[in-house]
Amino acid sequence: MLGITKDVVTEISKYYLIALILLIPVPLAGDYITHVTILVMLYAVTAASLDILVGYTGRLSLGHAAFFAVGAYTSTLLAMNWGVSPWIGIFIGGLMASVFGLILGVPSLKLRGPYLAISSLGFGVIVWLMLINLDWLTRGPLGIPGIPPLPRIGPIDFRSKVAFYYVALAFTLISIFLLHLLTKSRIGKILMSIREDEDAALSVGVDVPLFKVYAFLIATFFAGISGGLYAHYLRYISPEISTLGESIYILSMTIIGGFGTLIGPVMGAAVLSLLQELLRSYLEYRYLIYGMLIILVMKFFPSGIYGIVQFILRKVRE
Amino acid sequence: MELLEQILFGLMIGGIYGVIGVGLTMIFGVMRLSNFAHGEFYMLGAYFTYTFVTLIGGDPFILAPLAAIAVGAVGIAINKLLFKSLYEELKEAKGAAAFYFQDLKFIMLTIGLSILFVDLALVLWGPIPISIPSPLTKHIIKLPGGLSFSLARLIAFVVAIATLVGLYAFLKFTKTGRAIRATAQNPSAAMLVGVNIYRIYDITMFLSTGLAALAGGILGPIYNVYPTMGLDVVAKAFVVVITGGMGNVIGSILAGFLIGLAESLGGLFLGTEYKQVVAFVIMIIVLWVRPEGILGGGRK
Repeated sequence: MLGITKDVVTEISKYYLIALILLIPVPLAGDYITHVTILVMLYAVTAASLDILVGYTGRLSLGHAAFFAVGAYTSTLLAMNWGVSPWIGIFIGGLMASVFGLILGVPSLKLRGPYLAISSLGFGVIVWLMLINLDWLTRGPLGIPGIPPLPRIGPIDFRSKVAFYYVALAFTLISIFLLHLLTKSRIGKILMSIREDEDAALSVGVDVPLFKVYAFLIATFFAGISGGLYAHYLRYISPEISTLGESIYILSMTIIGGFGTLIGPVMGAAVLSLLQELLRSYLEYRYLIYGMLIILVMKFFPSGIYGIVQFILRKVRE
Repeated sequence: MELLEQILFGLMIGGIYGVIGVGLTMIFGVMRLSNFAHGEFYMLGAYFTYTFVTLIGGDPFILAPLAAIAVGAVGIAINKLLFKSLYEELKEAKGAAAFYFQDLKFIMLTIGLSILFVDLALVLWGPIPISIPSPLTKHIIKLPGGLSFSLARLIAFVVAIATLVGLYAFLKFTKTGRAIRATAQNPSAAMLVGVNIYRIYDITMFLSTGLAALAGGILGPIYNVYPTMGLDVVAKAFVVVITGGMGNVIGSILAGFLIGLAESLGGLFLGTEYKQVVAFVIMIIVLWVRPEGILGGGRK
């Protein structure tokens, strides 16, 4: 039904094996590099999940941080108030993010282009205001400190960065592998047909609204799970993770990386996070450079970092 | 009595929302450009006014129009440097996906601009909120029944209304205004009858950014001026534009008053912490029930 052959699975699996081999030794480089890589991976999954909406389905969302935050808060509150194990809580957080995805996705089915962008922006702001104002539940702007870490399995304590790194690595590779399979499947092709021409897709009998809802459910689920992992890793969250600025940060990873490619957003997450770290000493001018970079990439390389890499590879081959 | 006061404040702030929203709706209607940096032109207007006041001296309400012209020039420069090539591409664009791609480019470019301008303001003027000095804020007008407000607020309101009326007359009765409306309706037909649409795009950009800057300049003496003030306004400006129907000038003006009033009353009845939610709830209802805006005519 999904239309994925065994050949496709074996073909794309090899990339993930290479990635796994390359990423296994990262913790040897020390705590700081491990920490940055963990955050890059969590952002990479969030940006790649947004790509399903923005790149594949042609649905521009400016509120993705809200779903990340819903996942983070759900898992945190379940663990702290009801003692639910974070291993289960993170998954429930993903489902909760999907429920919020439905709340945004269904009423906005008819909206296109900038209209959806602005209504998702409004939705993000509402979630942010809820997290700030429902202080009996979320402690408001103070945020929630002291979130329990992932429970230990046998001798492995996930409070250590190295142990958590491998959890994040497994999560990242599996998530992006699943999203990759999705784009190769029949569903992926239907989503792309909606992006190319919604009316044409309708006229050949595609249930466009249903598949738009699928896209929202999938994208928000992975954002929610990333959020849950983030909460149990940093062990402190605040409404800051759901601001418009965060949503824009995630969207710029997806678009600067190269949307509609899945691997592009992963590159975008890596490059933008590294840039943030490198520019840390130029604190004042950081966003000046960051804004300039977005403008230059969009102006001269609208296919993003992925496009630039392909361009260089082609030149090298010649 | 508090109710009457809130209605009055709501109408006053609504006039300003109208001025900001009209600029945003115009460039969407004419150029199909969703400008996420619109709030930053509002911020620049306030800082330019502040700089003129400290350099030249004089009242901010007189210098705000000057600042608006300066910011409008910045708007034209950005239009020529960044967006012009995109309009040319847009003319060639075929199919829904091509339009979507153009929308994405516009949105990302303006997001880049917004980030850049906020940091630029931070570097040039510092992070500490300032207030533009004006003797008019100290004149308190007392109405019978215990109502009172500063003269500055009254002038800001009058300037906003005068600007909106002036803009409407300009679009309705002048040759350039007609050309702008023609370009919004159908750019290729406008070109056929001899309208230079790229000139119209420049003029529209000048008006749009200038109006936002004017709003910033006249609100500067009343509220604080700080680098991220535009980010707080841009989301609300989009709410106004969507409620009024994207591209619909009159719709935006009415929506400005509607949102201003609803927020004021929402703050009174629901408490100030939910004041901000009111605008977005109105937008979502409008998008759900009547996506073409309260007056219709907006593009879907």
